[in-house]
Parts: sequence; structure tokens; C-alpha cells
Amino acid sequence: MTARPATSGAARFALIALAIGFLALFLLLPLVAVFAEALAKGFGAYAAAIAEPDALAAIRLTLLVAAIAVPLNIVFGIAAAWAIAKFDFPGKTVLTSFIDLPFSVSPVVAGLIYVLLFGAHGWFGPWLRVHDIQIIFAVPGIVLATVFVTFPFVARELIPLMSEQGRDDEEAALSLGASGFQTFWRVTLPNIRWGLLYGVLLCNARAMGEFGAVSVVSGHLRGQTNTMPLHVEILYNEYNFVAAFAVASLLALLALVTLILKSIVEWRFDYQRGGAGH
Amino acid sequence: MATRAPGRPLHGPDPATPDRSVGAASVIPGFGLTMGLTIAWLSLIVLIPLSSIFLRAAGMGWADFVAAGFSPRAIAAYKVSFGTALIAALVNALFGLLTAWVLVRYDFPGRRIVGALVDLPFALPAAVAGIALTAIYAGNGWVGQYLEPLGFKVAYTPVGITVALIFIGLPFVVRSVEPVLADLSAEVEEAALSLGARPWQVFARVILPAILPALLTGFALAFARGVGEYGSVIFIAGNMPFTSEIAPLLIVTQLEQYDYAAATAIAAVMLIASFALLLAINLVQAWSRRRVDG
Amino acid sequence: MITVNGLSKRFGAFPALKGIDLDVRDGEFLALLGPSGSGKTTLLRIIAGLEFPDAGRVEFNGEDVTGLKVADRKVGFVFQHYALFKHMTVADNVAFGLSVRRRGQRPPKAQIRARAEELLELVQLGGLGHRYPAQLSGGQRQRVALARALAVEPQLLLLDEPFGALDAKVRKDLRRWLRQLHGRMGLTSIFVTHDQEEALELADRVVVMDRGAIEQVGTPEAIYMAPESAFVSDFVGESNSLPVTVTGGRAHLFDRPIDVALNGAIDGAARLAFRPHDVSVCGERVGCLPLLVTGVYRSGGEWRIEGEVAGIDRTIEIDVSAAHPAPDIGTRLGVRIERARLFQTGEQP
Repeated sequence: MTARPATSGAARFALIALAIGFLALFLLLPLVAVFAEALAKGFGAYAAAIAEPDALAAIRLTLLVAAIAVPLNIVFGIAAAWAIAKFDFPGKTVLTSFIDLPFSVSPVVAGLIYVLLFGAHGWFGPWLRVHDIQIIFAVPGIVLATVFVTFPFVARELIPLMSEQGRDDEEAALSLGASGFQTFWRVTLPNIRWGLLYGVLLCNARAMGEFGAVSVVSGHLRGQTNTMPLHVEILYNEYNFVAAFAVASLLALLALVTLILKSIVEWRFDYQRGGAGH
Repeated sequence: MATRAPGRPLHGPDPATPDRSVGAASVIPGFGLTMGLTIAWLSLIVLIPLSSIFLRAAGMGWADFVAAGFSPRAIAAYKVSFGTALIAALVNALFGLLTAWVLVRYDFPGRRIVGALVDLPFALPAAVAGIALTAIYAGNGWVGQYLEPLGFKVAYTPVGITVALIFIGLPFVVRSVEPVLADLSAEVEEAALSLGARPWQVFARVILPAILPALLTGFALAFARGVGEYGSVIFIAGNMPFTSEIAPLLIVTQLEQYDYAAATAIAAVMLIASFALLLAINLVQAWSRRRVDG
Repeated sequence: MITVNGLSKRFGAFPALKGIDLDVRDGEFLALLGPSGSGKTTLLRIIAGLEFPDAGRVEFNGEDVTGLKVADRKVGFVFQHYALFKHMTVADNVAFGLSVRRRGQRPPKAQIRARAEELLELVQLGGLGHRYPAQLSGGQRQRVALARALAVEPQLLLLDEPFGALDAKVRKDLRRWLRQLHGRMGLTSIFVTHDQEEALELADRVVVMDRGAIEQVGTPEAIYMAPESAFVSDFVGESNSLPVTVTGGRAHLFDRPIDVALNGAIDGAARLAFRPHDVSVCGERVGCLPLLVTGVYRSGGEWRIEGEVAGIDRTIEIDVSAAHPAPDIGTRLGVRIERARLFQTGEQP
């Protein structure tokens, strides 16, 4: 990473300063603002806002949703990457674009599709009502919407990685007599662990922080179907800024932890990601 | 991995064995299981639910669809969403390129921290970003208090929406351009310099064309994300119909008023727009692959 | 004994193998030699059970194994880039094949460890078992891959471009060592290479392949000295080729007869192939090939002379003893072809 001949010292300094100034204004400042606003009325008010029962319920729900959505998408991501990276078949490109689809759908639309399917006026609405099953405006709907928006994270991290690693290691294991499961568990999984961890980190951050999709299907029942981001919104709209920023600061901490772990994966294990990240 | 064209190059070792392991004919097990799981999960979570939008919209009849999907209020919302997303994506293309350049080419104290910070918008929940930006740019906020006396209002205007979308979209450009920039060989630049090109000519005629597909991809990704963005925008937007109401918010508003038809129509329009963008991104990438791989 | 019968394989529209028949004798060291795309790696992978043919059979000792997967064939496969498991130590890599066996067939842990150490000794890597593949040199990795393949006591050893990824010096040493190891163990082995020198030095027999078909099977001596096709003559060793017409049992370059012994030449267009060292310098006599010298350089103990054959736009290379002074560029030299082979073609001279 040395400067190449194309730039002089002064130009270089100006470019670095401009880039850092831009990032500080647009990225760093909001992050600092979250913590500053959260602690604006002292630590006591901050702690009280977090310890409030509705806030605790929101934290619990957020953890629950992530604990369901993330493992589901890990299983799916590994299966999809295995099928796509280790085999050749017609329609591979189409399948890969379909997996990426949720990234290009507005979160609000992601919520809406489940309302259209499972809501009172939805296709399965009447049937669900007869059988007394509540999906929309309840926890299952929140989980579904979260699974949708986090759908591609693990798969799109693993597909390029596993394609690049090729099939030699698996073929070697099989030629030495390993079963399919042994090959996956003892050879493939160790090869992809950092990529997997990377995808899981991003998937989890999005699962815990999703707002738009969850907002549409949640129903905003305090203490019942409010996740942390939704709770932030309610508090903010009630002009309870300190409480809103206090809960927001927990999510910001999650973001910081995610970034730190992600950087550790990148630096210590020299894990190179392919293509554009999400 | 490029598949090998059948042919008979005369020297050198065998390139990566030709495309093999077609489906079930491979020795590697698990194709049926993983493929079945993938298709089932994809259909249940993504494809079938998404198709519900189009089936519902198709069931509305053309006149009703146009009336709901292209009402004056809806058209105003599209203009706000697409306009602000476009401006934000342009700003991000410029500063994203700058950031990627600085991160790849220069070593300076704190480079790694800056590199990690770029991903903040991927990790920070949208709602948190939304309230934080509002706090900064509101009339009494950290930045807003200096801008307001100058007659420059950011929060609760389309400018505020653009600011939020700049926040959301920046990493798309940086992360698209960065690997391509890092892979550019120094030799190519040195060759251009040795041929008498001035540094700005090297940038404009050697570097920029090489990273243009990546830059376009990043721009399109940032734009697509901006068009659909909701959480970070609604706090800072003001949400006044016809001036600062974004299309996703209009969908939510219609839903809250039990106007499922209008919500569906607007969602269908937005879905078609994002699919068109997705197609454009894929075309750009296919074009650049063809150009580079020959 | 390994028998391959009528083996065909396509990749999409590309025919990788076109009806291959081949017998591999017990204990022999066989080379599959050919350029990229000749189908040699595909043939090796089909014998291994890593790939399956569209048509034809593979038999091990008379038993049809065509449908058997690699795990059930008892073959050892050494991959071109070794495919060592990066996250395992060298010893764990070697022990892998034994450690994945079903309970009941799996030896106790201590025995597996002892066996791995024994194999590492065999490949001269004793004491390096605790290292990771990344901490080894290319030649060492190659030997780990070999030890790992041998650990499962295969009835057949298959090596895909075993020296392809090594530098010249290591390649030569390892080649000699592998030859000796094969001599000691007597394990039937097949290896794929595009390097003719490698094939000629190592193999008991060489199979020369081109475009999915076998061109010639024979001992290295036969392949080099008696190539049966123009392709083998070109591909194995250095070779010059002149377009000639055969009339009355003599080869003619244009109207001029060339003085070279030919057996069973049939009249018509043909290619005359000869090696650079199969020539001698002669005067301006009839039957000598007039050569315009365009380049001279020293190649070991000889002069390598590049020259244009007068009358046709064709450059040939010959070796002459460095005991004589080098001819000057631009001078003419008479050349007599001592030994040549004739391959019929349709093309007009």
C-alpha cells in the first residue's frame, strides 16, 4: 500500500483530508450523536430508559427474532452455496440472482407481501382466522419479514468463496474414503468458516436492526410485537428523545461490535471478500 | 471462474479441468438435498410472496391500477424517491470513489479504522441512523443550528432525505470500487507514465475506464437501495405529501388506511423499477466481464 | 490389471474423450502425455471414479468398476495442486483417510498416528507431522499429498500433473525420487503430464494423447525413436518437418531428390520429419539440403543452427558438433538428413 507515482504529496494530503472529512461528517457524526443524545440527561436517565419493562420486552423480542431468523438463513445459505458452487447446472445465474432479490426489494414492500398473504384480506387470511392462527401483527410475521430481508447475506458471502475454492479438497476427501457428511464437516466447513462468520455477522446485524419490513407487519403493540428499532420509533415520536436514543445506543453498540468483529475476521485471518458487499 | 473454451492451446499445463460435475453426475454428494432445500426455501420465502404483489395488482384491472399506482400523490412520491436517490447516488459515486482511492492508495494513520467505518451503514440499524441524522440536522441540531441562519434547511426537506440516502448508500460504492482499484496493476500506470502521460491523463484514460464498470455497479446499487429506503428517511423527511413524502412511506400510509389496492399498486410499480435496476446492474457486470476476460 | 474399453466423454459440445482403449499392466508406471485439452486428465479422473464416462467401461482386475464412485475404488489420487487440507496438520492430512473409516474398520488412534508417521518417513518428511501445509515448500507438499494417498493402501496410484507446480530443480530431484519409490513399492501408477521429458524419464510406458484420442502407446524408446504419427513426432522431442513429395520411393523437395533412407514410402504428398541431431554437414552435393544460416547459438556441446531451406519458406533447426567453428550467419551449408520418418498427408508440397 504505497503511494504510486500518480500523485504528489500535497494532492495526496488534500485527498486524504477530503475523504476523512466527508466520512466524519456523514458517518462518524451520526454515530457520536446517538451516544451524546442518549447521555444528554446523565447516566441515570439512560439506565432507567433501558431498564424500562417495554424496552426490556423489545430487547427480548429482537433477540428472539434474530435467534430464529439467523440459524434458518445459515442452513439455507450453506445449502444454496453448496448446490451453486460445487455443481454445474443450467439456470445457475438465474438462481443466484433470485437469491439476491431481497436486496433490491424495498423493506416496506417486503413487509407488504406478507400482509397480502397472511393479513385479514390476504390469500390465507380467512383460513388463518378460522384456525385462530395469527401471523401478521404478531411474532411469526416479524420473523418472516426478517428472514426475507436477511435472506441473501450468508449465501452471497459463501457462493463466491466456495466457487473459488473449487472441488479439489472435496474430491480429495472422497478419494480417501470420507462420506459426504464427513467431507462437509471436516473439510468444507473449516475452509469456509471465516466467510460463514462474516455472513452471519452481517445477517445478524440486519436481523436485529431491520425497521421497514418489520414495521409493516408488527402492529406496534408495546411490550408484545415491538422490536428494538420499532421501540426507538415510538419513543422518538413521543418526544421521549433520551429514551429513544438510549435504546438506539444499544443498537449502535451492536453495530460497533459487528464492525469490530468483522474487521478482526478481515485482518487476522486475511479473509478476502469477493465483489461488492452488502 | 471462466469456463474454458474448447480448443487446443499447445503449451502449458491443463487449465482448471473443463466444466464438469454436471448435477447428479458428480462424485460430490448432496446435490439433490441442497438444491431441493434451496429451491423450496427460496420459493416459500421470496418467490411466492413476491408474486402475490403482481397477482394482486393484475387482479385490480388496468384502470384501477393506474388510478392507484399513478395518482398525483403517488407520482409526486416517486419523484421524491427517485430524485433524492439519484442525487445521493451521484454524491456517493464521487465521494465513494475518493474514499476507495484513499483507502487503497495511501497509507495514513487510522486507515484501518476508516476502512472499518465505511461499513457502518451496513451495521447500524436504519432507524438509529434516521433519528441521529435528524438530531444533527434539525434547526437546533449540531449542524443544523449553523445552516438554518444561512437560510439552509436540511431536516424535514428533500435535502434531509438526500443526506440520509448518502449515509445509506456510501458503502455500496466504496466496496464495489475498492477491490477493482486494488487489483489494478501498478505496471499499467507506470507504462502510461513512461509513455509521457500526465498524472491526470493516467487517471482519466487508464484508471477511470478500468474501474468504470465497478463504479457504475456501485452507483446503481446505491441508487436502488436509496429508492426503497424507509427507516433512515422517515424521521428526517418531514413526510409532507407532494414535497417530502417518499414512495415507501406512501405504501405504509395507504396500508394504515386499509387501502390495500393502492399500497399494492405502488409496491408493484416500485418492484418493477427495482427489477429494471437489477437487470441494468447485471448487464453492466456482464459487459465488464466480457470486456476484461475477452 | 486395469482395462479401459471404448471410453467416451463429452463436456457440453466438447468431446473430451473419443473411444479410448487401454490396458495398464500390474506394477507398471504409465504416463499419459499430451497437450492441454488432449483428454489425459479426463481419462485419469474417469479411471479414479471422479468423473463418469458417457460410454465405455473401466475394469480393475476383470471387475467392472465403471459405476463405482471414487471412495469405493481403492485408488490413491494425488491432485495437481495437492488439495491438502489447509486447516489440518501434515500428520492429520496423512491420517485423514484412516480416520474417516467406519467404526469397526477404523484402526485405533495410536495406530493411525504411527502409520502416518511411518508414511511421512517414507516420503522423507519424518518429524514434520506437526506442521501445517502452508509451512512447507512446494516439493514437501507434493510428498505429503503422496503420503496421504498411500495411507489408504490403494491398489492403484493416480497422479495429476505431479510436478506441474514445482520449479525446475525440485522437479528433477522429485522425479528421480518418485521413480525409485515406485521401483521399491511396485504399485501400479498412472500419471498425467504435458512434459515429454518427464514422461520419457519416468514411465515404463507412455500413452501419447491428442484431441481425446490415443496417438501411440509404447516404451519411451519406441515413442521417441519410432513415432507412429506426425503428431507424436512433433510433440515428443524436437522435430523438423518438411513438406515433400514421394515418387518412386524417394522423397523430393520440389523437383530435387533428398538423399535419405526411407522404408515403405508410398507415392504422394508427405511430411518428412527428422530430429535436429539426426543430420550431418555435407558439401554442395546432390541430395544435400541447401541451408541458408540465419542464426547460430551454443547449446551444450553443440552448435544449434537455424536456417532457411532454400526455395521454401521454412526454417529448420539442426545440431552440429562444436568441434568445428560456428558457421557465419548468411553463409550456405549443405545438410544431409541421416535419419527421418515419413508421414503421409493430403497437403500439396
